[in-house]
Amino acid sequence: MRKFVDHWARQKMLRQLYAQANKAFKQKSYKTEAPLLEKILELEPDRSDIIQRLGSLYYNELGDFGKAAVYFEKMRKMSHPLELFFHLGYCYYQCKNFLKARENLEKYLKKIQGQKDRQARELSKRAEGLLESCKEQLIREKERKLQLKEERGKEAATKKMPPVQEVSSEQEKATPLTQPAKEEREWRIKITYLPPEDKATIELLKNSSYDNLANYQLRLQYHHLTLFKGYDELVCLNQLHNVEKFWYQIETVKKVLKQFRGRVLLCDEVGLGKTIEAGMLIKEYLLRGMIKKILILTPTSLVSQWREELLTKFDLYFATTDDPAFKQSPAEFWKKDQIIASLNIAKSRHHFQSVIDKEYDLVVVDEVHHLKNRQTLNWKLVDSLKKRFIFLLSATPVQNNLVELYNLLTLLKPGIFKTESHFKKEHVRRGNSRLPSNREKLQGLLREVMIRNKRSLVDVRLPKRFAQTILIEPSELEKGVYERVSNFVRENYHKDGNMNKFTLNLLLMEAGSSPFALKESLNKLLDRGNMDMSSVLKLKEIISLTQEVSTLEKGKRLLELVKKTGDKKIVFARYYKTLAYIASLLEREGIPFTQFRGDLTNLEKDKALTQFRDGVDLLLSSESGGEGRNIQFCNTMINYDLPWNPMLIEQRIGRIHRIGQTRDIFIFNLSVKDTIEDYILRVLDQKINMFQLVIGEIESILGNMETEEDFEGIIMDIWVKSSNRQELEEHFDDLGERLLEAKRSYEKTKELDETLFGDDYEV
Amino acid sequence: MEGLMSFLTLVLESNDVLVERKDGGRIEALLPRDIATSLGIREYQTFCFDSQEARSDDLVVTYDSDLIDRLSVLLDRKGQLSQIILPGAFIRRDRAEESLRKRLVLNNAVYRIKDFEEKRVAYRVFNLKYTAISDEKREDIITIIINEATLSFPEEMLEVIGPYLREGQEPNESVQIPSSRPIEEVYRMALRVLRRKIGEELSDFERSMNRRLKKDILRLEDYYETIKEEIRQKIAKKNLEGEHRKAEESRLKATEVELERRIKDQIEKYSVKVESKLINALRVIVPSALFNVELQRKKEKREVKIGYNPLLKKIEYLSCEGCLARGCYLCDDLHVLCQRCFFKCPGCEKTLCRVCYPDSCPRCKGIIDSGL
Repeated sequence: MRKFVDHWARQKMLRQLYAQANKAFKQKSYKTEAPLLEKILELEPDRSDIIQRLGSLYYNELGDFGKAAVYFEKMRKMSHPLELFFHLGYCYYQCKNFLKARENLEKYLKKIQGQKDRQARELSKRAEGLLESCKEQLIREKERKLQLKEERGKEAATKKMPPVQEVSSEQEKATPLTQPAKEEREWRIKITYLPPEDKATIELLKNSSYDNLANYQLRLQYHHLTLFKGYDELVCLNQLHNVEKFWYQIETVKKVLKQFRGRVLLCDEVGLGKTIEAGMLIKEYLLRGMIKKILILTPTSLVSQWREELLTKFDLYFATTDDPAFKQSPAEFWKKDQIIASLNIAKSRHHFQSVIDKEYDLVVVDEVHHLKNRQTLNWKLVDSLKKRFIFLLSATPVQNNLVELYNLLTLLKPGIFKTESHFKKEHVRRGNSRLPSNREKLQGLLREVMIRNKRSLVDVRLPKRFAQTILIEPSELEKGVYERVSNFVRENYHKDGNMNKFTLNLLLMEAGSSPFALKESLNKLLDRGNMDMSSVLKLKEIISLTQEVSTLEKGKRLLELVKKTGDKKIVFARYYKTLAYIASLLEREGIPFTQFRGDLTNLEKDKALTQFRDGVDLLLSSESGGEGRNIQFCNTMINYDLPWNPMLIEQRIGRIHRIGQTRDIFIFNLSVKDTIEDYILRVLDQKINMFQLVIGEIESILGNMETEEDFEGIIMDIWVKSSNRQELEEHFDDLGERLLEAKRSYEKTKELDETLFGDDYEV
Repeated sequence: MEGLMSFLTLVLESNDVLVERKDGGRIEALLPRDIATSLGIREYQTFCFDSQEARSDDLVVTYDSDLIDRLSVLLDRKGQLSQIILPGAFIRRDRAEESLRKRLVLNNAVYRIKDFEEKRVAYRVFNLKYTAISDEKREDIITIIINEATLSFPEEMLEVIGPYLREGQEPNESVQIPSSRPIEEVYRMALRVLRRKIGEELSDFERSMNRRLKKDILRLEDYYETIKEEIRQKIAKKNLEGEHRKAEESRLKATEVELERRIKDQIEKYSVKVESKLINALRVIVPSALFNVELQRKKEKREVKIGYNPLLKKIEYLSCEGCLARGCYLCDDLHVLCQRCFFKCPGCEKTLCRVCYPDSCPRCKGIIDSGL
């Protein structure tokens, strides 16, 4: 009874399945039909018609050749047409099982020999073609396997292999290395080496007739030239000075040249060298004769830094809006070929027209987030410029919402996103203007115009920075000198006369460094003459006081510090006279040291650094100390004096806190109480924690400050206008607040940009 | 642009063209008709290398000019092979032996110097251009030097022979130094070294691509995992049984299959194909010295040749047959190996030779991970 019931139930199910399968077949719903037929086959495994139908379904309708092959193999055991071998061969070919494909195709061709009907002839042609292809693929597979064998041996010699060195026998007596366990699902790209044209090359090499060396060299040179054409080799690389070139910078430059054709938004994270990348691009274009007229627009505070970098590292001289020549004759200035201009000045009413009247080959805009709003003069200025190439630089391109990105990229490629409303509709999420609606879609477009390298890409894991400020009480004599200089500067700052602001700034900076640095400038000033009697007397008084100074409190504290810190250290001082004073102190105490100054020859500089690395523990250095050279073996620095510009401070730190440094950095700042440097340090260290920032971040923060003056100018203004300590503290507090606000704004922007871009735009 | 100007001048002059330098970064050339025709320019032609200074008749030449491509016609087969003979230096056998003992250190075998002969050795410098194609193309030229007698590749020698190349020399056809082994072997070795160097050059690029690949795959895995989770939750929530459960489970399986397929597509997308081509080769004949050294491990012996390089004043080391690093072990089959290619299987601790067993351990069948 039970058997009968089971059988009945089974029959009922079969009928239902047939009905559904028929329905699916009539509706051409093959994806539905196939699983139904498979279920039928489970119940009735010997149904050859079902097997045939399934084979045909997968082969013809569903394109699943693997499954089709399964059913065709089953059909082989039953009676079947000759063409089955062809179809099987084709299925295996599609599944890249070339061995079985060949087997079946050969069988087919053998059996079909002699048949002359049209279908047989057509299939036979196809079979021959497929067979040929199979044989080729099998040869390649064999070669690939051979290559893989070799490669497995070679793979250990890739980047993880140490360079070959003289190895001591103790090192080599280590027991054989244990292989690491295979990682689960480690995804790696495939690199396939295609076999070179061996025969022709071997024939050539067997030839014993030789050509002259000149032709040999010419041929080689020619091929190198062809690499220049494709931008695979850069012309500029050998012409850079004191620049440590990183692979990602070179790749960025190549990509901008090759793919972006000179229009790019460079958004590397801070500290990765956007300026270097821009400099390399400028140099490359110049050397290739592709550009001549260049305009670089930057925040006011960065003008001198750009000029300095381009001159020292790239041998490129640029006129700047800081130059006296600019004030003397702006019309002539704007006609120059290579200009670095403050954005604020360029956009001003007096200069706007002169700037946009000219045609430029290349325009570079730094801290381009200042152009985020299309309604601003900044944006309108850059949009109005006639240019062939344009680089936009910013570590934080988007600060508030995605429309800012639209505004920036419209400068690069007008029309890339059509209109703003179209952009919003297509790319901005409803209700949240900070996020894209379709990240992949936006990514596809942005990848054509934007590069954003991150520290994690270049494996930059910089250690921490620790800073300590040592506040020093000056002697009465030192205090007297400084106060007199300070008063002198205040009195003459806004006077028309022989002493310009630059000279007065310099006096105060030198006074902050040491009286020895100051003395020379004071004498020069006196020699110049053209001063009122009162000023002359004051200067003479100050000179007289400086002559009485022999040992400074700062000098004593330096010696204490040097004796306490055991490791290698660099002592920075701005002025040669200050360096000379420190040197005399060290010599007197018998502390070995070596000196690095900008006026040394390259050979002398190299010698000094070698001595520092291999011999002495102290390097006495001017601002240029170690620039472009590897001194990451040192992790301690002492700022004997302090530049007023935080970026110069950052540059000093950057000598030892850079890619390649493995140890934490220790920074000691010697600061004399109640000097400008004391106040600057309070603002930078206590307010914005500058010394703990990531390298390069201070630049971004300063770039965020809305100011027409450079930082030194701001400091000087505060100093001069404050008549007492209370006012000084208030004004510096305000400056601190502005910096803090700029820092907060920067951090918010950083977060937004990380969310928006991630690491999808690396080179 | 000076470099470009000099190069063009040299190429033209080597094809009997009269060339004269002019002011303003320009040169004037008087070309034979056939040369002018093959370059597609006039017989009297002025070239300018600064587009700002160009006059109306000047042909402006930059690195991007088509003229650069056409110059290949003038070069044709010139300079494909050349040979120089370097002057000899007195070789002190004791110093050479000292260098050998210092640099040839085998940790699990011994060796014996059987023979020392001073002879002229040929080195072959190969200049090879490679092209790596992925979603972008990159090209470079790599120079490799191979000792024909020993198949070592002393790279430092390239710097040393530089000054001799600058001096220039006509190859002396009468000096025929037959190669001690078939040129195919030497060339094959050069290709092995080339692959290693390409791997080093592309390592940063490879790392960057691997990063992108991993990111893309993680994104895919994330996406498909979400779908799979939804299916699992549907099964659990609705407490599916029988046919419905089977249907959802097969959907789950199909999702996994689809994910694997998409991952394979991604790997394919990022895959890199590298082609290489020989530009030219230089044979450098150096009076040198060769040691015949017998290596012995247990009872097995093998003879190898080790070169003493008089220009570098040191022995050219024996390279590992697995990866071309410095060899310091021998396996039981006397393959010379470095410490990475002579290793312990992570599965069963058996000591293995990468040349003998490139794929899997013969004892435990564990797969050898080549990514060290």
